[in-house]
Amino acid sequence: MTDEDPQTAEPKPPILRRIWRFGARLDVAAVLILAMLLLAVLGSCFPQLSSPVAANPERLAQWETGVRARYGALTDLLSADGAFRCFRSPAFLISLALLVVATLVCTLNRWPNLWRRAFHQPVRRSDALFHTTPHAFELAAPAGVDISRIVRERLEHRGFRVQMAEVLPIDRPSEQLTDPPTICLRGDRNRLAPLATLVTHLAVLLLLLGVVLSSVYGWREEIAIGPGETVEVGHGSGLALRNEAFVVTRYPDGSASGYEAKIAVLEGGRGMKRGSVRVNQPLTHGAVGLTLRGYQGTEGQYTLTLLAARDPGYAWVVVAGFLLLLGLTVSFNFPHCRVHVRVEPEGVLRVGGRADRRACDFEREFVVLAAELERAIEG
Amino acid sequence: MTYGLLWLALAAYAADLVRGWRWMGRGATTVTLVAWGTLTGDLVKRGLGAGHWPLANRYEFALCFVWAIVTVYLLLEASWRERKGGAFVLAIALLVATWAITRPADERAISPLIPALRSVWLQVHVLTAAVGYGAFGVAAGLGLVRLLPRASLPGEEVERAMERAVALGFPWLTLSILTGAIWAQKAWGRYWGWDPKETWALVTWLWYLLILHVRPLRRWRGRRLAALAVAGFAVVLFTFVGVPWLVRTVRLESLHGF
Repeated sequence: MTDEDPQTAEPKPPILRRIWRFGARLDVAAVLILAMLLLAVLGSCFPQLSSPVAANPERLAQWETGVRARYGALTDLLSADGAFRCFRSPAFLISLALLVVATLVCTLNRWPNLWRRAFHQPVRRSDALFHTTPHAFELAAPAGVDISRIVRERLEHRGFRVQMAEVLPIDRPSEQLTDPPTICLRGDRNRLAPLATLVTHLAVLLLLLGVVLSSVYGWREEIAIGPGETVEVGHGSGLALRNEAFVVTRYPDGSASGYEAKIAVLEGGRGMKRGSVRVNQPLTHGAVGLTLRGYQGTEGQYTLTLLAARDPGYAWVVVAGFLLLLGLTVSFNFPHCRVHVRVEPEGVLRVGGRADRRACDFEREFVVLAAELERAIEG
Repeated sequence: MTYGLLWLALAAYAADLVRGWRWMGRGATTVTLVAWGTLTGDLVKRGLGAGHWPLANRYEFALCFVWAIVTVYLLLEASWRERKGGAFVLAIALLVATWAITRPADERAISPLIPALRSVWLQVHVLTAAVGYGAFGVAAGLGLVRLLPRASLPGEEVERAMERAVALGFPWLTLSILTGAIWAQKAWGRYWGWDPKETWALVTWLWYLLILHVRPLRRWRGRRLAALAVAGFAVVLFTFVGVPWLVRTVRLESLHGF
């Protein structure tokens, strides 16, 4: 937003502009990250009351008895301070919400600039650029050498995408228009890499959207099923589960190597799907997944504890996770490198370069490029 | 043997750092390479003996952690062409290695995989965590170099190498958390449950996210950033070693074996 043309942009009220700039600041994001980090540390030091336990009065009473036995007189104080529901506490949720807003503001703020850097960079650059760019050198070429061709070849060899443009001076007399023009070249490598930052920020927002979908539209139900019994799943799923068998496979030393529950899924009494639920291998029926949580009993007479869950946010979280990974990997490992070149009609070659990250590596490469060009022009 | 070689390499790197003996530095790299080779061999042998990847308990993870620190450091040394951080990085590796070899015999014994760990996600999740932690170990070693009162290297150069190690480790840690979430969904029916181990993985991730955010801020560059990288490794160690202690001490519930 700071990149708007002041001539055309509608003036924003100063207070809004200040809030916007404040939200886009890196140190503000850092403070919010630190706040979330500290709250997470705090939350990890106390037992947390999970939603399934909170929803079940019997389990809640059991949980409260355990906590009260552990913390005694401090229990009420800790409970009032939200120590047992730290990740649902206003402080945590407000920090998270502010971080989301800051991420969104930062993304929108950087979008125009990053977009322009990726797609609308001018090839023609003035002499001034070569005084401000972090890396620069100048070479004098003998007459008759096609410098621009040599530069283009060397840059393309190094993976740069090269664009070329001619500069015709407007103040030159018309009879001199046949003179060779100044040639500008621009080389870009990993031109689209700056957009990875946007991918990363958008992935964080998508991730949080997935978490919201999970918590608002998802449900989880722990179901205990005795041998041969049929139990309804509930939550309007119309499903019922029947415990048909349970098998424990063992290693030669007698320790368990795997557990397999054979389950029949009945849907509104209309049909039946038989399948196995193993550790790490859930049984999926439509949008509902069944995982094995536990068992008790003796050989052939096992009561199973299954978790039936529907989670519409999970796929979003996974997609967001991989987008985040893509953004981070590209951002950190494929820096956008730019090389600007001016070939003056007098045979002077000016080269300037800049890399967004890994400046040290680029500095080395730039020195090598200078040596290569010098050799090629002389030879 | 690997443990002894790592100490030898540390002494040689220290001699290069203090006395400026270049030949000693070259020797240190050679010994580190040999230590890397023997550790790789030990891990392969252990894996073949157990019939599964050596990632099934804290002892095996610690060995992979040391392997990752040494691997990342050797790669960094090769591209950076500088050995001055070697002594500190190997000190970090030896800290983890010492913890590993002081484990009780039953923890070091090869055992069959328990059903909960029989998943392809074990390899992906734990190995990516080891690589991420290894890179953070290297960053902490370089951070210690930067914190030296009389550094023998330009601070900016050390800082860049340190940042590079953090930038390498962060995507690996992200991948580890992501694959852990996928595994948790398959095993426990939820991808996130605020289990203490998950919470501390998030704390570690947030810490390095904080480093990446303050890195461009001028007042946070230099020693402050180095101190954050060193403290970050303390967070990593707590996530690895401290969380089981926290679970026991505060009597928390955790589904994570290690």
